[in-house]
Amino acid sequence: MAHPYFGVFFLVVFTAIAFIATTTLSAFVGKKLAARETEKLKLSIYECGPETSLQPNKISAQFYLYALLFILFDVEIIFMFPWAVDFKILGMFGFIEMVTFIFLLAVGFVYAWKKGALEWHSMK
Amino acid sequence: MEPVKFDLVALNLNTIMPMLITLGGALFILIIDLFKKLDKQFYVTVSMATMLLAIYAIFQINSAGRGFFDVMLVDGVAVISQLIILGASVLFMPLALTGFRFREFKFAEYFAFFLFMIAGFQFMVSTDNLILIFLGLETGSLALYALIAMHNRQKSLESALKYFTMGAFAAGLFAFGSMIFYGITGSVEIGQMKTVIEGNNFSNMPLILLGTAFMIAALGFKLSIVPFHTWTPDVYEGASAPLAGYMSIVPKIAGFVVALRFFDFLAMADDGVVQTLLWIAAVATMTIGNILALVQDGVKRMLAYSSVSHAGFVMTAILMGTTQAHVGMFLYWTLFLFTNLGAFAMLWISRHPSKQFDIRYDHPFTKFSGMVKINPVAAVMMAIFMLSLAGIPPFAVYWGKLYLIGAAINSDHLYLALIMAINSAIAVYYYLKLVVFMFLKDPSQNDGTIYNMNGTFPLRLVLIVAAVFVIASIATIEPLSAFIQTHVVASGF
Repeated sequence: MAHPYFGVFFLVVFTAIAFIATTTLSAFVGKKLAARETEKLKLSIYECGPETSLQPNKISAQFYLYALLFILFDVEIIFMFPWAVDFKILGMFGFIEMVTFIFLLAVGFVYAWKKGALEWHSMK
Repeated sequence: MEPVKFDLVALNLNTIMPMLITLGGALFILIIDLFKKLDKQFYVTVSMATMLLAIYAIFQINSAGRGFFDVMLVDGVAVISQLIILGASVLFMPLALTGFRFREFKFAEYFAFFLFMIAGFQFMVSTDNLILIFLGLETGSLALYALIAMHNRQKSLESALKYFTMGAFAAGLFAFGSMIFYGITGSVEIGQMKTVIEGNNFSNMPLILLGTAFMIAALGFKLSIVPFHTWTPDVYEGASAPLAGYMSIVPKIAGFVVALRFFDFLAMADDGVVQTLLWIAAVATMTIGNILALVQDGVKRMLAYSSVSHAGFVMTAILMGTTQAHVGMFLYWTLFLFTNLGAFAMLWISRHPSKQFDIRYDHPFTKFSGMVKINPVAAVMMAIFMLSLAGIPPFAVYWGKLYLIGAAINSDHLYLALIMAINSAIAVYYYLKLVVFMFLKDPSQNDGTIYNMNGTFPLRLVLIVAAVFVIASIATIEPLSAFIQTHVVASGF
């Protein structure tokens, strides 16, 4: 337990388990909850003659905006964790820095919102 | 642990104030665009006001010094280069007020990107921390790629992509070079590196050389040093004329300042390998740039190769490493700024949204044939800028060349001085080619207004300012060089 890198080791194991658990769980739940009867008709492409081929990994390009916005908040959280842990040491200075940082991200968020990045299929 | 002391005085906010102002202006433009649709006159005014305020903030920095946990380093060199960056931006900004409607100026983001880019380059010059240099470089460059692409021609998109891929590659090389130097010295600050490397008396030379090679390549991409110059003509051709002119000035002065901080002590190593490397790069750049400029058909491509050659010329200042050379470098770049501003503004004022003279080029040489007979004022102005670029006395760039060649002779680089002189002579040919087209050929059309199609009062004003400075440089050269001298000496270069 006294080993200095025990925390890092624990983190590796913990993240691996968490990753595997969430992915399998979400796949399992998704399969169970999906309305499979109507899905086939929705996804089928109208084509006469040949059988349509099934593409399992079809993801709309619209998701990239969500990915970008996710990064915006993900980075914010990543910075906020260590700040929260060392809040007392960083004191007033850390607080002001963090408020500035959040303000800048908020400007980006408002910009994305107003430009319609959160609306599906309606970028201005 | 003790709580972090928060001392506003020790933070020295003055050092970061100019960048804060430009960033604030950019954010203001972004936000106001969300709530109200405004025209470009408003955005140009806001940007100009922001930049002038930033210039005022630079003059408020009384003492050279560090700030923000010793990350910022605002010495004389940083002050001069920030003044050049902001001055160039103030002069290039009104070129957005064109007669024709171009797509990029409809967007408020154009002006916001412009200010973000300026802030990036300001950060790059006013620090000796490699991480902040990298961040500034990337902020500036990424905004610049977007600005080029916003011109919305096929060629602009192509050039933006080319510049982006090249720039990304260069950024990777910069990171590698920084990594090696961090490995050798255990610090990311150039000042610390200098102390450690000179303390070890340049042991570890193979590693230092490897890192230097990475750094020369990375900065060489930004400065268009041969053999990393290949993107230059294509990107200049695709970008709109004001941006092309801007690119030949501002990112390069930022790159030169980083190169100056970085290579200044390495070039002084005993065995002189780094100095020889820089010598070869500088000589190859000015010679190859000149030779390729000789055979161009488009004026913009010719100017692109000419700016490659000018970059090589100024690169010599870094390898010489004397105070006179460093003063010459900033002097040359200030004079080159006004001349190139004029030359590119002349192209911009004669620009039509469609290509009228040539399938490929917006500005082929033949466009300007016989210009003096149908629009003598514009022809004389263009000729002044060309003669200045060629280094013909008494126009601006002549004094820069004089200063640099003088510095080369004083620091015993006689062959270098000879090569510089020969290259200046070669360069006269292609600049005078345009003058010959304008003054000695017959006009291809009767209407002189085609050289003024895009013109408005602000564009003409910028041209007049450039022309007046180029002509009056004989009078301003003394105070200008004295001003630069005091700042360069104060920062110990």
